[in-house]
Amino acid sequence: MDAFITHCWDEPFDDFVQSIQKVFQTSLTKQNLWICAVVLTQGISDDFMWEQIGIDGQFGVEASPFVLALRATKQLVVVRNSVTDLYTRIRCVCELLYAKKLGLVPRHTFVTGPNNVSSSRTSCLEAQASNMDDKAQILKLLLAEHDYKEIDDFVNQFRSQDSPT
Amino acid sequence: MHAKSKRGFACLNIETEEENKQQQEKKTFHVHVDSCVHNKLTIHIHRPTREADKEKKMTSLPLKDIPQDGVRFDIDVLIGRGGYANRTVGITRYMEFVESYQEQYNRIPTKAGKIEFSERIVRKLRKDGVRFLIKDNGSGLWNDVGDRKMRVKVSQNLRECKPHKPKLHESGGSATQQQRQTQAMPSLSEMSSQRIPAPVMPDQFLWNSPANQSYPRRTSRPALENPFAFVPSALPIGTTAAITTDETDDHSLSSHLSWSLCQTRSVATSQRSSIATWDAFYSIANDDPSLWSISYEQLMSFHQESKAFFGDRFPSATMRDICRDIIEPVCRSREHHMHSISTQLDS
Repeated sequence: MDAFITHCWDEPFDDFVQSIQKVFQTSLTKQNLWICAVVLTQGISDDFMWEQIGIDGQFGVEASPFVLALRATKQLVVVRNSVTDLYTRIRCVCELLYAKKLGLVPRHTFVTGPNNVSSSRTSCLEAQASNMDDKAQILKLLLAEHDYKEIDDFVNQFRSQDSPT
Repeated sequence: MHAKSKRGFACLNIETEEENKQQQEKKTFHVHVDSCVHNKLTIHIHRPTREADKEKKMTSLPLKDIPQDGVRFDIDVLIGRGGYANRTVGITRYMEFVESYQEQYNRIPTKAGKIEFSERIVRKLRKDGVRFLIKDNGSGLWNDVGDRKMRVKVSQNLRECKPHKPKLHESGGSATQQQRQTQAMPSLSEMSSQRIPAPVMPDQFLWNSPANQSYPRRTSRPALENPFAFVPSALPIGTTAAITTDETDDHSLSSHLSWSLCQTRSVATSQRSSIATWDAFYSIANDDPSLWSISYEQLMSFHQESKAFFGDRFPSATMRDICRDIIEPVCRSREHHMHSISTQLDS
């Protein structure tokens, strides 16, 4: 696996693929991508999903596939979109901070997709999750190591990063 | 008996009559001088335990470049499909052993717990001197796959081995197909609702126990059918459909797996040479989230197919729509409820 793709599910799929194309189309070697939508089992049940992504309270975020994949990846690709601010999702904030912790940010990070939500300033405290336990667990983890303002400032850099032409 | 004192430590060479009769060799024990007060010397003899002997025995076994005559077919487990790999006494004993723990394994509610359980089994097998050997087709020599791959292999066998023992005369494909139809894994939610204490491993596993005297023939994986025939528009996700062509040829398997790990560079370079079989390939894929990737080409192909699937609605189709209409049906069609790769490979 070469690149971990952090993205939001509300994005138009066509835009998502084109954003990734912009990053890798000139790459000599074809990359292998970790995209949660296609590598995780979807649509079985909520319980199954919570267990799969580590919200079952047993091992937590550290043992989730997201973090394990981030540990193994060589690059992080942040795929923004024109519809939703990526960092209104707590999982995306979490992925970004883990990527930083694991040394992927800034040297091995690509930011792609439109930046038309660059003015958004949603705090990590207001970020949403499809499961409240998940949000609580992630926030607890992040706030144990960072101040929320510090997290917000860090995230804002990615919101305002210029989009590729 | 001779003793040499050396700054608190002494080395005693003890010759026993019995041993002299049998082997005419000296046994050396390392002793530690615990105290030396008033000319009274208290010593504690550290005699190697049986387990330590076993471990020593194991570590003394060659693990690389093992010639054919160095393979212990009654103990070693040979990794490979068909033929020799499924007919050795070693593999049948091993399968019996694994089968005896399958029930405990299935009761473990969490994946991490299952992994830990598999690791304990690996330690147990290692203590018994079991090696998992894979043949290097180039040199014709055998190499141990290492503890990690051994663990994923054990995990795979714990998941997949069936309580029904096929008869010796049963054809491989049909037996496996029957088992697949009859055995249903408990759902994760069912397992999650159970809080069962960690299973206890027995102190000793005997390869020669009566329970291990029957050696059913392991059956090979049946030929794959196109798992995506019922979701024609989802072909890119299920590019594993291409596996239908020739499962018996490892090279063609690699070239047809598009969802895949063989095309994953990290696997291709460091592990592909040793992942010569479907089973090893599958089991590694199953347990390592870092291998759950899709290639850039597959994504592009998936993009085109999604476009055809949604038609005019495609520009506004979100990732959520793609997931609901294409990805979820594929995932739901898998009986094992594992993640996408494993379920597709296990079709």
